[in-house]
Amino acid sequence: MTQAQDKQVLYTAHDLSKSYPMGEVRVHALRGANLEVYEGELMVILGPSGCGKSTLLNLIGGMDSPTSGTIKLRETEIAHFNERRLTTYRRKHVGFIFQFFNLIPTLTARENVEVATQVCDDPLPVDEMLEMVGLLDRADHFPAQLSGGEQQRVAIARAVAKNPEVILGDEPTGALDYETGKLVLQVLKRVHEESHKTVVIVTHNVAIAEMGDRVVRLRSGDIQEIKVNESPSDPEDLAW
Amino acid sequence: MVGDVLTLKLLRDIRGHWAQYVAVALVVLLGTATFISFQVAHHSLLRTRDQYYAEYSFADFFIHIERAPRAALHEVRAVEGVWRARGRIVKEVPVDVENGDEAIVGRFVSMPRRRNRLVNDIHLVTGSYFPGAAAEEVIVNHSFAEAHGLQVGDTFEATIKEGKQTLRIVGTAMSPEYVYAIRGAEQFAPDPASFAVIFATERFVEDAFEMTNAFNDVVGILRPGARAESVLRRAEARLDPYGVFHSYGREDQLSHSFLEIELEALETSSYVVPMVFLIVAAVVVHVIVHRIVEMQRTQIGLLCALGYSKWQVVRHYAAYALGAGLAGVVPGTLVGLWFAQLLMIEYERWFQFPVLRVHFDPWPVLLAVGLGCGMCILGAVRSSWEVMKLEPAVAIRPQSPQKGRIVHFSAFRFLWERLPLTWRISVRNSLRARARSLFSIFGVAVSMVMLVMATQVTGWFDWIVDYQYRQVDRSDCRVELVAETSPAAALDVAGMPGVRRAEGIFQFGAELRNEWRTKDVAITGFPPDSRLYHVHDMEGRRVRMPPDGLLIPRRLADELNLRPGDVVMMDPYVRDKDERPTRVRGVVEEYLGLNVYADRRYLARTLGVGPTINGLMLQADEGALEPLVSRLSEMPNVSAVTTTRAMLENFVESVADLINVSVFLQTIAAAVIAFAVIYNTASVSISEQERDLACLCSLGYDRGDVARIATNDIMPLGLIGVIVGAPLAYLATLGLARAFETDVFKLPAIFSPEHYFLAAAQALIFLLISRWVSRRRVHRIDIVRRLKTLE
Repeated sequence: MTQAQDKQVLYTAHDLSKSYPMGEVRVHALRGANLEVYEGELMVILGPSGCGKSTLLNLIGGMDSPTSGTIKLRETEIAHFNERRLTTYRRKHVGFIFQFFNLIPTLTARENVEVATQVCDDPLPVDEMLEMVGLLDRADHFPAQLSGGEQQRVAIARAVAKNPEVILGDEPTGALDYETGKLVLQVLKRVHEESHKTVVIVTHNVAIAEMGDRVVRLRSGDIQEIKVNESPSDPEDLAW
Repeated sequence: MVGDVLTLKLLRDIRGHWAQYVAVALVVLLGTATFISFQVAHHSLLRTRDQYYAEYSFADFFIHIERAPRAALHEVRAVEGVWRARGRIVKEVPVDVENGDEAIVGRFVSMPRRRNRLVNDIHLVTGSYFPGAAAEEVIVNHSFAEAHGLQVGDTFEATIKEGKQTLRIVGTAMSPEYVYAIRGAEQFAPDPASFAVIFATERFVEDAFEMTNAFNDVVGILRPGARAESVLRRAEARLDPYGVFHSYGREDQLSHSFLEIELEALETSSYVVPMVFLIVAAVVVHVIVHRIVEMQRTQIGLLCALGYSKWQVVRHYAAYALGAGLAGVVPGTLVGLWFAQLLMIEYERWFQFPVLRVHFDPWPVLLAVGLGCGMCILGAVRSSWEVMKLEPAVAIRPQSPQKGRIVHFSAFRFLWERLPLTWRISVRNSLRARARSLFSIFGVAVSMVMLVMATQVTGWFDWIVDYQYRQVDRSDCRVELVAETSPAAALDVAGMPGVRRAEGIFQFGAELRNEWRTKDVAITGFPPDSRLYHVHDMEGRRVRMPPDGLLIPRRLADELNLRPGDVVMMDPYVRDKDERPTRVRGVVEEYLGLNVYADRRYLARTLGVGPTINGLMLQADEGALEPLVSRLSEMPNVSAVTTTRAMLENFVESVADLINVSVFLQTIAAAVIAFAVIYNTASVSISEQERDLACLCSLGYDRGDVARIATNDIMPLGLIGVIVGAPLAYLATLGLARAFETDVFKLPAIFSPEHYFLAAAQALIFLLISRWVSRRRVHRIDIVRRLKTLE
């Protein structure tokens, strides 16, 4: 899992930049980033608030388009997809996990997973996914009846159920307490191992970086370092 | 400074919700405009009428008699409570105008040579008041002259006592007695071309009708505080030897009563219609401000933490609503005044006033501003008041997520499980925001009611025209005779070329009395087997004239508390005929006029006269009507010829334009209400769901799908609104029909499914447009930002 040359490249980002206007100034969120994401790896993108890590994740996830540069999913250039193609791309290839869970409050846990699988070509069984995150018995509960950790586990089930190429987690523990955060990371790790999906986690929490196969350090829109983690930690052993 | 910052925030908030703001302002605009236009029109009509009546001494009471010597006028003047009284001669004759082919009835009204403090004086529009010595000088009512293009110096002919008399116009005038210039209540709409009021000198009229030193009509003014009823009773007693036909106070005078009906309708509408708009505006403001307060909860907490008082915060949101109110009220006032001007122009077609102009009065405007802004503030205060209940520390924290509500659909589980997830989101959202869903339904229902009522007016119109002039009255023309004659005259007329059928009728005015309840009515006797006039019972079946009693309309039966078989006292306005008992034999349906029907032989028997007729109904051969009318007009003993078709055409012409305009305006108003309600509730709902919708986008749903999901509920809720609106519309039309029911006409309680389908189709089109506009909001959602932040 550690030798780059053994790995198939899933994403290639080349000279990726993103800037956007904020009032009268232009904010450069990402400045010419170069990155490869390998199939089946768990990558952690680490950096302080405002360093451009979420921007990088959104560009990989097709939620946004870069100002310049390219991103390839295998051989397919996705950076300048139009809205319709980006939608199809998100539908088929990406599973998102957000900081604030973003479950639909008017759907039950099961329905929240189903709503994702309904637009996919090859989804995984919904109940199996709920069982995998340990929430099958709470499948008929609404988000407001679930704890934060449970909501995030539903969000993980939702992301995996789409059977995507990549699962992108944007500060998945950011809104959770320490214990719950660890629990969610364990679930994420298990999902990664069982499903062999590529997982990219964005976090500002240095401790979490230890669970990644590779850790990308970002600062002020620049990739400072890409470190290969020879022995990724189990989330159980993490402490912050 | 503090105020300035909040004002700045206010302006920015408004900019952020400008489309919703415009929608509210539009509804307020409509409410204000209708209120001001109706109020100003009502006030202007009322003021013009009162000034006109006062300036031209419009009479307080009217007495029609057969013939009294001039000296008898002193008897009337001597009655306590009478201030001034004038004896006149009023007679009707057929009139001929060059190049005119329709039947015209001319009503002579005698005028004294000297015009000194005249009761029922006239306002000269052109010409002068009998300038020469020639007897044939006449002044005609201005609308008649205009209808025929007649001017001072022109002549026309009247058939008086078997001979044609040429009359020369020396002036055209208006009279307070003929503001609504119709000949009889059954005419409904003024037809200036077929009805002439001819003011002629006393000398001329006396000579022409052999009424030297006599009069047959009294008009008088009461002293302050005197009651018309008691004055009339005493005056009638004194004039009794001269044959009193009929007497009544100003409120029963034909023109005055029609004007009064219009004024009442205008005043009622000026309150009811704008209130509907303003209530809708208040609720829309409430929905919007509620959402803004929810979204700005943390800002409110922050303002309180910074030291702003809660009252200042509430005032801030009230000012937001006040802005919406003012944005509607200011243009609404201008549009209202413009509408009032248009209404006045429309009224000039119907009511003859010397000058009819908008009298600007500040209080309706002030009231409109107060109402328009007040309702908006009321809507806002209710929402922003919730802020008052919050402690700053609580407010500044983001609101905890809404409690999930498990919707028990066990009864519908089968359906529920087959409902797509995207629809489950919509159904649960609608159920969660129940008040807002109900408001959407209410808005569409109100819109539906307005649409049905708009088309209903056309329906009523078509229905009454068809009923009255095709099913009931099947004659082509009516002839009124100067004196009663034998029914054999009908046979003579039937033998004239071009006459297909002629039926003699016997008609007179009478007072019907049941104990203390009385009513003035027109009684018409038909041949028992009349083919030209079909009376129908309440179930719509044709009723034959009973041999021994009266058929009375339902409204009269209710008013006099009469049922078939009851005895009713009849006091005929016929000389030397006192009150006598008759019997009610049936209750019939009647929409235009207040007519009592009987077998003409029964009426003659009851009055103690031999077989007699005083009018004819005719059916003419195709194309034979015009020559027939002119031949009939020239016949001796004919006082008036009227053609049903002319009456029908006039009716259709006068009302059709008005109805088209009103249907158009009501449709616009219904569209604005539907749009304002649906667009605003949808906007608020989308704003609440922004994060869910962004989440669906992230899952790979495209924007179109998401927009559809966000607005899924519009059509079902709208459909419920249409379904709820339909019976409400039916009740409203019944209420409207009842509200506008007068002695003179009644609106049928008809239910035409096509009107409801049309209204539903229109409402659905409004909904589709609102949905389309609302969906555009979804495309503006910033997915990344919404998913990254808490509300």
